[in-house]
Amino acid sequence: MTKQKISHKLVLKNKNNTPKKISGYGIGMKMSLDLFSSVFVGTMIGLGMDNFFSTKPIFFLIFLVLGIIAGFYNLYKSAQNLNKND
Amino acid sequence: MASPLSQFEVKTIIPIEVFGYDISFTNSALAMLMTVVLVILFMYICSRNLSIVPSRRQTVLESTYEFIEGMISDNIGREGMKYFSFVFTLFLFILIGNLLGMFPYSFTWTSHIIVTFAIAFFIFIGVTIIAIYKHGLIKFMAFFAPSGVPKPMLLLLVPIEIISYLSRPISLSVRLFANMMAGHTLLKVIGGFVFVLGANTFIIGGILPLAFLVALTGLEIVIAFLQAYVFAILTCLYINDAIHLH
Repeated sequence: MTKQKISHKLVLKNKNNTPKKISGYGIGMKMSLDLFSSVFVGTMIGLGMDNFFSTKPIFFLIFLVLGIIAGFYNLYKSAQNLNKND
Repeated sequence: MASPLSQFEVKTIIPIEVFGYDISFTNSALAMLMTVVLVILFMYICSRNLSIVPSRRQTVLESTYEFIEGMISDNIGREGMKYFSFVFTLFLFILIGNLLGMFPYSFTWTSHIIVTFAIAFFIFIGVTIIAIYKHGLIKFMAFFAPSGVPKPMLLLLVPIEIISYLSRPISLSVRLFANMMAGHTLLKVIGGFVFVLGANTFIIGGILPLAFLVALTGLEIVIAFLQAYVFAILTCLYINDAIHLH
């Protein structure tokens, strides 16, 4: 029992001593993926709906724009999160 | 010399066909099976002869447990411990899969987008079901409408929120896939440099790329750990979003 408590304390102390640090590579990867995946999903939804309703470019264009907006919105949100952590 | 991408080729080992579908046992399936066997062996060997004063083997297991436990209590909170076994399994499966790919002549199944996408997609479905089950359909729908926004803006914001929600499995799977694929391709390309430059300049030219290759192998092992960690932590974040809808 005491042994467990001690080990738990050690882990907690260790956690406090080493602050969480995200590498620049990690940030870049996360942001680029945020941007890319939203655009990709928007495009796919648009193409799928065009295929279904056979209205070739209309939904594709609408959802492409929405996807790009969503991508930048995600980028903005994750950048704000980074600022909050600093 | 073989192309740097030939290492990702899926080869059939035992051809199986059921109702016209090709479900052959491939080298990818073999790698996954080996991963499962290794995880089970790891758990079995480390959890034999458990004692209050842990042996060396038991310490490895306990620190792995505490690592995931810390991850969950940091990101979800104590009520997230229900999902401990899921995150633990996922982390070990991907970690051992990544590390298994570092052995020469083995196959890295995490470098295939369809595998990582299948994992990410089922996490996505599971998280959505948890959210609907916990909060009901109406509250879940309200997740897509940010509060304090004028009504006409919702017409634009709701599709954007839905798209960014749907993009989660893509970004989750592409992250793991791209890192593993890029790393292994790079290793193969540098390996090609070692061979070609070494063969043309009586070994001297191959020394520098070889040193680089050794360093890159170390980096790749770090990335194997890091990507498994990132995958598990993002799963935790998604479960957290599902439990505490905001």
